[in-house]
Amino acid sequence: MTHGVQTAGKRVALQKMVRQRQLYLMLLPAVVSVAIFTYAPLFGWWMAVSDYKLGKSIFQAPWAGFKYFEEFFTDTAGAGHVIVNTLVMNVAALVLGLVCALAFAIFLKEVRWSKFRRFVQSASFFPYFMSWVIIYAVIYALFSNDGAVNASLQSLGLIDKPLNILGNPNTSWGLIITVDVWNILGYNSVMFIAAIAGIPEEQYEAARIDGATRFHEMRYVTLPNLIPTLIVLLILGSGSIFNSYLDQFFIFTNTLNISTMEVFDYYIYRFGLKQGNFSYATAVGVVKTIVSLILLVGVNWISRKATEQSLF
Amino acid sequence: MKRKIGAFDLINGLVMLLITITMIYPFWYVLCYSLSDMGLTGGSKLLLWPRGFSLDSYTVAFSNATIMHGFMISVARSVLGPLLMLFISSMAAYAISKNDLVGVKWIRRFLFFSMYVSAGLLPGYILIRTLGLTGTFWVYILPGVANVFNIVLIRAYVETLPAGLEESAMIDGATYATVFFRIVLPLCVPVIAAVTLYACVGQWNSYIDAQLYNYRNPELYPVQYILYNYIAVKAPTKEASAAAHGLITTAHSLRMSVTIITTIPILLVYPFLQKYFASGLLVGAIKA
Repeated sequence: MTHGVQTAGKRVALQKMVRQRQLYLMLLPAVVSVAIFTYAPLFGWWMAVSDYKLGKSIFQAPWAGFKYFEEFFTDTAGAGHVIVNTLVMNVAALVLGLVCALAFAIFLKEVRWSKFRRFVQSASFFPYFMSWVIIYAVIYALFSNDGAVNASLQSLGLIDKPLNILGNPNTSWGLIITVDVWNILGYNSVMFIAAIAGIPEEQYEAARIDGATRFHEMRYVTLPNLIPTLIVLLILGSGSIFNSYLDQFFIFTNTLNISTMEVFDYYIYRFGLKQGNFSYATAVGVVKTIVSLILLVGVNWISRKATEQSLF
Repeated sequence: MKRKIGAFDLINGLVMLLITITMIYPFWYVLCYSLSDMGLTGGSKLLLWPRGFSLDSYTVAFSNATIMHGFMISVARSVLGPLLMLFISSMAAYAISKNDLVGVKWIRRFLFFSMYVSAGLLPGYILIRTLGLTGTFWVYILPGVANVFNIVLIRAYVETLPAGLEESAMIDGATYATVFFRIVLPLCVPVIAAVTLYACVGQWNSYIDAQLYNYRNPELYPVQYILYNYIAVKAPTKEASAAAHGLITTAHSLRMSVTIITTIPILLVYPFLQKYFASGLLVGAIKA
């Protein structure tokens, strides 16, 4: 390509840009907003390698090296439980959430009364659209020490003392995993229900001609057709295994169960905003983000190799 | 070759009914409790139906200025937030759907990459402080005006529209803005409705932003955050008991009625929510 052609190309592009100026104007608010609210905070990572005090500019904070990262990695007595809690609850909720939704979708397909089937599917979304405050309010009403479940069990003489599942370190994991599976069932099953709708009817007809029973159809036709969807959702979900909803854990974590309930996002909140140790909490956040990003790219790569499906 | 209805169908139907009950009953219980006559409920046992009937806890809730103000804040953010988000995100979606826009590849990368980046809680907090948004209503609205996920959804929909419509308008001398607002946007109603509704629910359900940024500004508390405080602070609130003079109610039943009041707006839009959801308009387009 000669120099003359290049400048001519640039001029054409410039003319085009002038003609498309309205499109750029339409993009401007979104681009500015993303730049400010998503990319600009990345400068805040400077806090992790400096001694930051709230109220000062982050760029005036003196260099502190990597002592806050060291603190996090060496002080495992303080942070070890956070890693365990986060991974146990997220992995279990991801796997169980998807497997239950898969089973739900398979059995829902077998329901013969179409109005009832639609009603069940509608109801299954219900908790998903509720805020964590509402969910906790409802769970509190039923399962707190003086809640309905404990009161009923006590009056039936089945238990002596109320089962305190909301403030007991032994029940935190079970509580969160159960609530997550329950909450996400309808959402997760949408993918599987869509996949079932895409199974060609001939596969079922062929199975019936071969004498398949209902169970055979579910086991050898429906299930195999859903496995690829399951694998893709599992792989993609594992990219966010270190992330929790602060909305959820802010309300479920209390002084009684914090040892088994505390997850990364709550730990960062507690050290940063409650105790004012911004530099340390930011360092923990940076570690979490980088590990998550590596994981996301990794699982995406595996997914592309294994199933030819990927996020990007 | 239809099969007869057998034992399997009955058991399966029963299990599905049980699942449905676990999804609905917790909320039904709260409704029953809130409508029960507090003079009659000795302890709180499982209810299938309200015990007695009393609207006292609702009277208390509705005559409580704090709760009603919180309700208005929630309504304001759930209306204003989605409208502004829709305006800004749909314009951007239309612009990046144009393959001949100079530099569009880089703009797309800039936007899409932001979905996988998050600086985290504390850098976000410092930013909001630096911008002077703490203690203002706008902290609920501004951070979400460019929702990249929604931009992706709307763009995917715009790209399914026949190109001929736009072309003929452009030949007649219409500008991009005219084409977008007069032709493209009206055709995008299904995806716009879905995205807006979803944004409304998101706004209605948030409370953590109030905790993080408007902790010292009770006049900006949304109703969810007020309810959170009612649950977190287990003692009966002073103002509630002051407003309760003469009415038989308890802090517990007030919590129940506020829970129901906070749920009602979601119930009102629920048929539409689940329609868009089940149709896969939101979920299925994730990979678009």
